[in-house]
Amino acid sequence: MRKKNILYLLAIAFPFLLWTCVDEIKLNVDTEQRTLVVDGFVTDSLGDFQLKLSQSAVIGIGNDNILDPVSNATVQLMDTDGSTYPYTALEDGVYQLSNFKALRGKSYFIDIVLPDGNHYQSTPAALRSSSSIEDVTFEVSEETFRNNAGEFVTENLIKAKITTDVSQADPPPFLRWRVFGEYQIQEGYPGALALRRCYVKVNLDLNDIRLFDASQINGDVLYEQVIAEATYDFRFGEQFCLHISQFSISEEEFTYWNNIKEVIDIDGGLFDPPPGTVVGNIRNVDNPNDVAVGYFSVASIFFQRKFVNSDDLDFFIRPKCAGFQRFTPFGCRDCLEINGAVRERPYYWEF
Amino acid sequence: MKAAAFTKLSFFLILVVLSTNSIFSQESYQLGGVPKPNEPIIWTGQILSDEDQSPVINAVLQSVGGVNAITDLDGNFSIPLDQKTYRFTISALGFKDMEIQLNARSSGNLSLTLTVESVLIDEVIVSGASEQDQIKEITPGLQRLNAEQLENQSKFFGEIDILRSLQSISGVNNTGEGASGFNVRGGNTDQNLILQDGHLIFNPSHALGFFSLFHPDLVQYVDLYKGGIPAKYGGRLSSVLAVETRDGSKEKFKLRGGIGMVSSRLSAEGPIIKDKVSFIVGSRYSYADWIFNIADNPQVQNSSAFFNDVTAKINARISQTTNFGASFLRSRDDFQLGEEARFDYSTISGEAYLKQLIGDKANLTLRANKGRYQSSLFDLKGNDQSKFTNAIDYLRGKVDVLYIISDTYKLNIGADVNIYEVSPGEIEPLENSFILPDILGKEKGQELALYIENQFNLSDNLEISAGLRYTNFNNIGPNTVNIYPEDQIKTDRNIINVQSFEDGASIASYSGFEPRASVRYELNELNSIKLGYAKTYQYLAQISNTASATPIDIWQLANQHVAPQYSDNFSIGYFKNFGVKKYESSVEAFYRKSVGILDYKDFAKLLLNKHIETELVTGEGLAYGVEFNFRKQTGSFRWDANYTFSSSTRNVQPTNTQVGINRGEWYSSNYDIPHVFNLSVFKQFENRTNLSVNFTYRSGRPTTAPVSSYNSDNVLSVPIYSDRNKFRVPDFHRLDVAYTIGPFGKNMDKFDQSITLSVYNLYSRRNAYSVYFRQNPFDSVKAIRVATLGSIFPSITYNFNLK
Repeated sequence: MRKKNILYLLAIAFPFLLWTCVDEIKLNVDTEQRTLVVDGFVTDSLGDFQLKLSQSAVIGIGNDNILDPVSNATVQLMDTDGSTYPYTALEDGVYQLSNFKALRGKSYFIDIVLPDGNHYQSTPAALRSSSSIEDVTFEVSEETFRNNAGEFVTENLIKAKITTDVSQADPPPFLRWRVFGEYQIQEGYPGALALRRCYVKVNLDLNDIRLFDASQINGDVLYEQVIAEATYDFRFGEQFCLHISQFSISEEEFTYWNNIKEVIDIDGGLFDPPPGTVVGNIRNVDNPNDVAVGYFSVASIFFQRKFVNSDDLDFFIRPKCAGFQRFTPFGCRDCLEINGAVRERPYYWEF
Repeated sequence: MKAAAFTKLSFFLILVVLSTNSIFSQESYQLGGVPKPNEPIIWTGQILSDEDQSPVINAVLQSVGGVNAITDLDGNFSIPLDQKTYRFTISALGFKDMEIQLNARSSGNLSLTLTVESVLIDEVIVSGASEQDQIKEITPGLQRLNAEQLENQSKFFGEIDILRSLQSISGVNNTGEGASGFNVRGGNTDQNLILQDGHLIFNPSHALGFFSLFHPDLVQYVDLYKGGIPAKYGGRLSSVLAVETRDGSKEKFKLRGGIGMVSSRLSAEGPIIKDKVSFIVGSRYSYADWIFNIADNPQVQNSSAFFNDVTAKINARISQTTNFGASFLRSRDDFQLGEEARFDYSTISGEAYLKQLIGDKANLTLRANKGRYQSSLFDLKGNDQSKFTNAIDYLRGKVDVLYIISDTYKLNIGADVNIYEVSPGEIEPLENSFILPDILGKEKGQELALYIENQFNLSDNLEISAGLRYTNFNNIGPNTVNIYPEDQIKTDRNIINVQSFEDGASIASYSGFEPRASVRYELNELNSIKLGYAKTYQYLAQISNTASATPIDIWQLANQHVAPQYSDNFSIGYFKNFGVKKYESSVEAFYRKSVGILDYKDFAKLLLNKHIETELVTGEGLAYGVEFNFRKQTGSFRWDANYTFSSSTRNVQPTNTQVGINRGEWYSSNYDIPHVFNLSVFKQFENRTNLSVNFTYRSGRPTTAPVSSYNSDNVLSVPIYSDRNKFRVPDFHRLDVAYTIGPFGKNMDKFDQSITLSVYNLYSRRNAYSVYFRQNPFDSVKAIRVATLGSIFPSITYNFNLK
């Protein structure tokens, strides 16, 4: 039940609240509180896994999102059998565990010793059974919503929906999805001799947390769960590929992400719960009052790529660089100008 | 304050000092003529209403020396007196108090007429007790909704409202415009016992919190007990709001109403059997959808919002000593936003009552009520469409006996039984939804209260009221109870057993004695001092984890895991009148210590939670403050100003069975508003128009702000918050103005009209309901103010009155 969202909608529904005003004010929050931040995960898919250590940013000092990295820490993954898997430092605050795959039946936790001697560990977590994605579908619709300025805007949105079989998991899994996008753009401008293509990766789920507790569903299959939404624009004019990762996570991690979602969704509505700091699974071994933030995740993963075929959708969208245009749009003369663009065609590209 | 009057000469000689048939308050009368030695003096008479000369039932005649009487169903009374001069106060619900000086010389008949206080309600305003009451009223912290001063208060969309008016009283607040309910002296919304006649009101608000469900034209009398709560009331920690509706006229049919921009009201009353049986019915209906239609947004255009209510009452005089009646209350709100969501809540309650005079000294009142409050939340979008419902049902019986034992001793005894059945939640899938239906087990509870209250006049100056209330609460089956290890924090993961209880079995039982006391010492005619103490238990709490209570909040009975809350309330006040009672002033201090106050863990999940006790923490509450009141309530120019300084804090200690809040340090409650100033000014012009101006200022309410931030996977800028309620939103202030033309009309004895032009929030103050913090991925955190009503609101209302 999306209580908060619904209540917010209802709060603005009452006619008087059409006069609701949302504006920025100055609020003096004078503090220099800093906290250790741990951000990392391992899965049952063989690969390299990175872990980031940093100090939280102080509000009000420049860009609040620039964290101070924590270097020279000793980081290792441990399992409950006593095995250790050391991380190596890549760059400031970034550590990597190479060529690793978590195994079913084992519990893992991260062990961190900072240069100042503070010693942190995560709560041991066992790998959960994975669930497979059966189908991915897309739907485009016109939606009206409030933007950050508090204004109602109407846009075409594309939604990615999945159908997942959860019958393999016992107990019913807690699921989390991460979705990346990648689109193709073909250059086009007057007088062009050779039209080249670029492939651009985009982050579709920035600040968008998609979770599901499968114990809520009636049956073994989760149907048409929306896992990503994006503005339906020129990026879908040619080919668009979704990289979908479906994680089976622990209940504790599910609660963590649910709380993060609640915190970032706070919008000052009449029925907002009081905010609080989300506590993850990292503790100071020697000082229980020193709690780090962030989460170290141990999860099983099911990965799938899916191309959006705009011809199958009722909403035609013109490629950005196609046809005659008085001014050549950005990126249509040299698509490498687009942030993150590469010319190398990915091996999985279908077209 | 001239009143229509009535006098009646007896067969014996009655010499009325006033030679006309008009009687004015505080006038002098002489009873009888030549004194007759050795002959007892008996004052007989009748108390009548100035409106239709109908008898006033249960009017209390009280002398400073302690002689008392109450009127019977015909308004008659009989009082033995000595040969001397008395000062009497005559009071009755719905009428202005009357004070007279009576020189008793020999037996005689003298009837008096009281002025109706509330029948002409076009506007309800709140003031302190009337000028007589301020000095003589024994209960400290009692505020009377005075229907006489109708036009002073703020109007929203031209509508009058009792709850909005209450907030102009010192010590009464709410958390912001649009917030449900009200908060008294730093207490929670659910710590107010709200009664309309005998109906228990669980949510007094319409349209979230912009209006209240009390129909202003039917309200006869409103008392708000902020501190010294009489023993006949209980069950809540902070206050008692007792709203009495009036009986319909037994003489003639009347119709009145008002047409506003977003809602209208209508009420009718009249005899069913002349002089015997009467009815009164009132209803309000909102039609705010036109506002949606002028919005640009198609989704908003497809939305709807409305509320309505019906209040009805029948009263029958069965005999000279017996009065019987029944009343009904129905209130409903329904909102829908496009095809996204829908939300409704409703109150329905019925009552039967019997009032019986026993001899000429006692009055018995029996009440039986049954009611239900229910709210539903519809999620109409996506593949998890659902309807969530929760409700509370109650059955109530109350017996109350007022017995005037002697001239100086009044006794009030009674019993109050409440049976609750809480349906904490049920979720039903809607069409094409994959979610599972689920229902939480009902909770049942029985609350029994026995009380006795003695009121003594120890001397002309000293009056004491001493009472004791005993309450017993039983949480009963059928139900199941989660069992946790005794020395561990309760979580859903450490439930070690589930204990089942059969129907009627006692799951948890609590009881306690609640002493109540009030003392009034009258220094002289213009000065008095009052003291008050009340201990109260509360066995029913609203589970609300938001700054403002919401209509879908569930109610939680005391059980094995949730102990009852209790509080000790102390108050002291000094009351002084100036300028031959033209001006009133008072200063009151209060202190309340509460135990067992519920608070919540961070990120508590309260909806459909089968182990809700794992989300709750309990602690102590401390509220104290001082209230200053100044007012002039007579003449064509009247004003009322008050200032309150107060503090409301909580403490939740970490123990081996619960997490603490702010490491066990004291923190501000959501209702901690240190400074509040209210000013109301009213001017009645000679051309039958009047102007009212209201200003309010209060400190910003506490809030929790981010002090640091971090990234977690794909989420940029996750805030790390300060201690709970460490900061405050900006201060609140607002100015409202209303101008009323009327009453006017060709034959005003039969029909009059008025038009009210009002402007709410005159200078368009953007008062912050809340402040939240926008996390921008590539910028610093911004504090964003949400002002629910950030604009000026002009409105017009037409009122009519067919007499």
